[in-house]
Formats: sequence, C-alpha cells, structure tokens
Amino acid sequence: MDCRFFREQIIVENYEELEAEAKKSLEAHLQTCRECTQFQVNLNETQQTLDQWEEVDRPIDIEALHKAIQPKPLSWWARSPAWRWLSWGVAACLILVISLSALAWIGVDIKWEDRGLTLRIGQETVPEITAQELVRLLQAERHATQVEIVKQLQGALDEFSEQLQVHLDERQKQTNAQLTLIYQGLQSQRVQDLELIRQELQQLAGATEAEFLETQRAFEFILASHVSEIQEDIK
Amino acid sequence: MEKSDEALMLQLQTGDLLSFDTLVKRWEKPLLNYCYRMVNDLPLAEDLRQEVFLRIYKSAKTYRPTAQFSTWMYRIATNLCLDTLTKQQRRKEMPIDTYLDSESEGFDERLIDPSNPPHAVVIRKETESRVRSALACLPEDQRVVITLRHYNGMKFHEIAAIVERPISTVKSRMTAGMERLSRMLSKQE
Ligand SMILES: [Zn+2]
Repeated sequence: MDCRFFREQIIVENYEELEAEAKKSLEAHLQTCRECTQFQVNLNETQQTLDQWEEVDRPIDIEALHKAIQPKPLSWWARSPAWRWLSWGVAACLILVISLSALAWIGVDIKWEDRGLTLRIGQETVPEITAQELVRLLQAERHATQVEIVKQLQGALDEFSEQLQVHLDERQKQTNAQLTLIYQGLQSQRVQDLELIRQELQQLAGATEAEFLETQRAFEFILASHVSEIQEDIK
Repeated sequence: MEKSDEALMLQLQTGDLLSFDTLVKRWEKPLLNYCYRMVNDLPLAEDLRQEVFLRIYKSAKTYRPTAQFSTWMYRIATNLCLDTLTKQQRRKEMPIDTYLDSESEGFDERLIDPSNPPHAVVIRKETESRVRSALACLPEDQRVVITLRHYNGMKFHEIAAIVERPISTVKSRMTAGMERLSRMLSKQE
C-alpha cells in the first residue's frame, strides 16, 4: 500500500478513530517509512498549533432570541403598502410613458401646456393629464379624508385607463394591426397594475396617518418625477 | 438524568419553549466557535449563531429523531456559513497578508496577568493570528471538515452526515487540508 493511504490513516489515528486492525498495519508501515514518520511528527505539531486558537465564550442574548422567535406583529413594511406602491408606481408610470409615446407614434398630438398635458386628435382636444391630476389631487386635497383621497385616486386611475382606451378605439381603424396589438399588450398590463394599485388603495384607507403620509409622499415623488420625465420626452 | 438533544427536539415540536432554551444553552458555545472558525469574524459569528438557532426553531417540525440533532444543527450552520462566505468572497479576494492586517486584533488586556508574562501572551496571540489566517486560506470544504473534526470533536462519520458526502471524501479532504495547514504554519515560523 502506498504512503498516500497511510497518511490518511495517520490522521485518523491522531484523532483516535483508527480501528485496531488498521492500527497494526499502520505501525508496521511507520517502522519502515521515514517520510510517513516525519509526516506524523509534523501533524502532531500542526495539531498543537491549531490548539492555539482558543475557544471563545460569548453567551447568547437569549432575550433577543426569544423576541426573534415570537410571531411578530406585522412590520411596517408588511403593513404599509409603500414599498409596493414604489414598484407599482414605477411600473404604472413606465406604462404611462410608453403609452403616451405609443399614442404619439400612432398619430395623437400630445402637447405640454400650462394646464398640463393635452392630447389632440385632429380638431378634438382632450384637456386631461392624469399623472398631473393625480399629483394635484395629492397636493391640494390634504384636508380631505384619506378615504376620499383614495376614492379620487381610484377615479383618476380609472379615468386615465378609459382615456387611453378611447384613443385606441378612435385610432384603431387608421393604424395597422401590429400597433394595435402592441397597445393592447400595454393595456392589459396596465389593467393588471391598476387592479393591484386599487387593492392597495383599499388597504391604504385603513392605514395609520403616518403610514398614509409616507405612502402619499412616495407616490407623489414617483408621479412628480415621471411627469417631468414625460414633459422632457414630449419636448 | 439529562435529556438527550433528540428528546428535547421532540418536546420542542409540541411547543415547549423551555426545551429550546436547554438546547440553546447546551450548544451556544460550540456553535459560536464553529461559526467563528468558519468565517473568522466574531461579531458575524454571533449573528450566524443566532440565525442558526432561529432556523432550528422554525424548522423544528421538520426534524426527525432518526437524525442526530448535532448533525442536523451543524448542517444548518455549515450551509449558512458557506452562503455567507460565498457572498463575501473574502478568501479569494484577500491574500494572506491583507488578511493578517485586517483581522489581527489588539491584545486582550484581560489576558495579561502576573502569572502569565506579557511575552507569552504576545507569542500566543501571534500564533493564534497565524492559525486564523491559515484556516481562512483553506478551501472551504477542507475548512469545514478540519473545524468540525479538530475543534468541534465530530467523528468522521458524523462529518460525512453533516456535509452529505461519503466518509472517504471527508477523510481525503481532511488529509489535504492538514497537509496544507502544516505547510502554511511551518513556513511562517
Ligand atoms: Zn510511507
């Protein structure tokens, strides 16, 4: 048997796990092999050196552990929909940007005017800007109750959704089928997002004031930044 | 008579928190030292220990007494430590000298007492520092095996169960790791 095998045996032996039979054959090998004998000497030294890293003893904070295993009351993050608002808000605004770009692409004239965003198809003007409207609602209606704000937000979201659908219907005959498909894809995504936001709005009505304000600020911030982005895009 | 770990786990499954506390008391020190030797960072090791106990508590229901408790516990700890190390990627990015610089700590004042002259303390701390660096330089699979066998007194067949590898693999990792440590620790002398 080769030395490689016996080196493994030496390690097992040094940790006192070698069986009697194997021990005998190891001893016989060590009688004849200087390299393996030296290996064992080195191993003993290494084991002693390893022992110089002494054990530490720091009792665990059992109270902290007990706290950690208790079923927690829902954390702020779990209760407040703010973080979900953040992601959905970004998604919704992204869709808003894409939708507006799509509208511009299929021939709807979009202009940023003093009152906000204006959509124009031929002579017909739709003087409504949903994102702007939402920001305005959030800023101006601070005295309204949370439930009212939520309702207004829901209404605004519905309206925006409808508007886009109206424009789609109006332009459908004049645009090609491919564009319609793209737009329908956007629209179904948007419907899903709106539904999620709507569910969040329901919960928001029951939130504490601090949570509500937090969420409101987050949403305001998202909308404001996206409105300015849309503004840039349109220029 | 002391209850076995396995019996305590069965009691924990019925919602007995006291049995959990007993397990924590019994294993807090070996577990801390295991994590410490794996990640070479004491505050991090304390966090990992806490997390291991949390996981034990949370998955108590899935525990089957066919498995030895310590094997189960060390498997959870090993996976957690390895995950943490993967995230940190410390060993691969830090050469040994950097490791020594960043990890060597000031001497513990409490260790200096009249019966223990300062130079002995200094030498011991230096050796400890070398051991820590050498272990940190080992491939993780070797470090797991060496730490469990040398410091935590687990038998080779138990380590095989912890790392879910054949005992022959465990022994060859141990051999390769010890040879490497011998070289590293003697070279620095
Ligand atoms: Zn030999």
